Amino acid sequence: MNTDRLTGFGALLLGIVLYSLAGDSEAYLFPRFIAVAIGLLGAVIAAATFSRVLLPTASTSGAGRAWLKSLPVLAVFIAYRWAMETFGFYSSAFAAFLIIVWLYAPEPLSYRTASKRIAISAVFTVAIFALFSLLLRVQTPRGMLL
Amino acid sequence: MELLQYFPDVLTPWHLAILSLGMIGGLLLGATPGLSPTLAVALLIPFTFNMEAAAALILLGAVYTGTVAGGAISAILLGIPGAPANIATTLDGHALAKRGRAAEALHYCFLSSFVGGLIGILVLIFFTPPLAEVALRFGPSHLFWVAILGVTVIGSLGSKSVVKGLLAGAIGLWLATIGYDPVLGEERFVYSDHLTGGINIIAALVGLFAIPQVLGMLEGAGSTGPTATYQLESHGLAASIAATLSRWQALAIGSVVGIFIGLIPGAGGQVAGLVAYDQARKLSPNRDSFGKGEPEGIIAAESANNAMVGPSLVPLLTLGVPGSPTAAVLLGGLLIHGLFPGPNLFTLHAEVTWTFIGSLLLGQVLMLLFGLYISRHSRLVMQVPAHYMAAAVTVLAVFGAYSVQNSLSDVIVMLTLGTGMYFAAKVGVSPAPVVLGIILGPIAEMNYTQGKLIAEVGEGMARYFLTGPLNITLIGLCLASVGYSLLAELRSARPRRAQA
Repeated sequence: MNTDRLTGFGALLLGIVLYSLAGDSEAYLFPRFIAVAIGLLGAVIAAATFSRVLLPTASTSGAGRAWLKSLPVLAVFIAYRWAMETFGFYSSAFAAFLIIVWLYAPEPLSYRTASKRIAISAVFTVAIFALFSLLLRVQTPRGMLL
Repeated sequence: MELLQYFPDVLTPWHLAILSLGMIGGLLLGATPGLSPTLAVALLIPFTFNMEAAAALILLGAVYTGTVAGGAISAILLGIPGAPANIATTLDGHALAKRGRAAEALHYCFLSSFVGGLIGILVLIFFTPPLAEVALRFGPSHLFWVAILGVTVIGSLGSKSVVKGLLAGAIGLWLATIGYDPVLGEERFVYSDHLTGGINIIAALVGLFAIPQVLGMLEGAGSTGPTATYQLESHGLAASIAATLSRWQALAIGSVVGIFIGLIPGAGGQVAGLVAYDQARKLSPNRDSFGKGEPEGIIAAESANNAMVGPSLVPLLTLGVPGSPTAAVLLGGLLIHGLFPGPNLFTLHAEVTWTFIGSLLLGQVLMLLFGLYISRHSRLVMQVPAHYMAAAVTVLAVFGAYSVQNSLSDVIVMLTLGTGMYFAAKVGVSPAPVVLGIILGPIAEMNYTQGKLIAEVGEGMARYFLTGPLNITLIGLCLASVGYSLLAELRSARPRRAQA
């Protein structure tokens, strides 16, 4: 299916869902108005895909399945948030930095590249510790470690 | 003139050292995604407790000026605005940097920031009393129309079409309604404990810009060779100065819009850059190249958000009403040192006040010098391998989102919005309209509701919102903005129709 058409119908559906969730309380006056706007704009986008006049058609090829490459880092995001609470900000920052670099580095793994990655991750962590905790004295999440 | 009388106080070695340190620190903090000017100034207030009042205000003023300008560094080099005020800079600044012209983009940024900032401070020096009266005239109906003017800009901000831009903006407006209703206090769309406090603007800004950048970098990482992300071209400073001055219309638009928006209490500097960018685009013969690395876009946006700094202090210093969130934090800095805003500030505490204003003036020169120095080293950032940059941005984004309210909920919101934006970008939606929606939503809703309450006990809705010279001027600007956007969309649709 054309991605614009999908976007249009998706937005139309979102507008309908938001409007029905809003109820008739006075506090929802503004959100109801916005829900109508979202639905209408979605309808315009969907309609335009049939006439090909109002919108440039979004490419359905090109990027392809490149987004699949981002799945590991999405898992890192989820783990990072949990690790921050459990181990503390700086130790989890070190781990997250190292894992992302490890997962996406183009160079093949060797003793030298591994040492380099660990060293850069450590230097980065020390630098942010010096800036945020020592210089600015900003509060960061605390856990079992630093 | 009093400024000249007290200006030598700025030039004492201690004050010059404080000013330079504050400016360098501000530029670097501003370049850190998530560390907004407001947060940076707030973080530094405890450091000023034991300083004399003039030195404390010089430090806070320098950090304020530095962070506003510094936010453009990450906007240009990484595509992640350091603060909401730099959103518009991202659109053309990062596009130019991706073409290998990062140093040139930073030159435009700091030169136009200098011009805009200087004009803004001169306005603060020479026109404070009459402008304070203008600032006082802005009521809820006018602020509502200012927010609507911002909404009309939404459609043209980076998305592939006006309709998609408006849809993204509407989604941003909806996101802003999550949490407690500002007037009735009723919960809205709170389906998780993490959403009780609503969507924090800085967390949203960081997530919507930084996370798609991280994911985008990692999409290409690992397969394209080991090092440089972009090819780099060198660019002479003299050529950049000539190019900036030759685009005087963009400078003028940016400065005027920045002064006007800065004066309005509560409008916020973030709106200034976006409105100036939009107006510059509409009036430029190169309008089709906006969003693709057009220098005029950078110049208009940066001159506006720096021109806003001086005027935003007018209502603060004369009336005690802050013109921007950062000015509100500065108000705290004033009060801590026993300085109460109002006419007495310029008489009883003239020495401190004029030394502070003088330091802002000198600060513009230092900002230009330090900024241009940083520009020379921009290639270092652009040559960091994508996987290292992505890892660093991820950590800084998480810190930026957390540090605003010391809340892990903000981190979750940031990561969720960012991941959603990454997929939305695949269908041609830009993050800028979403962020603008989140910024403008509360301003529009709050002022509409307040205006409605005032109108109901007084002259009626239509008369309150639609009459008076300020209302009519703002409505006229809104209509002109919408009319132009529709005209431009139809004009660009004509060739597509012919092709079809």
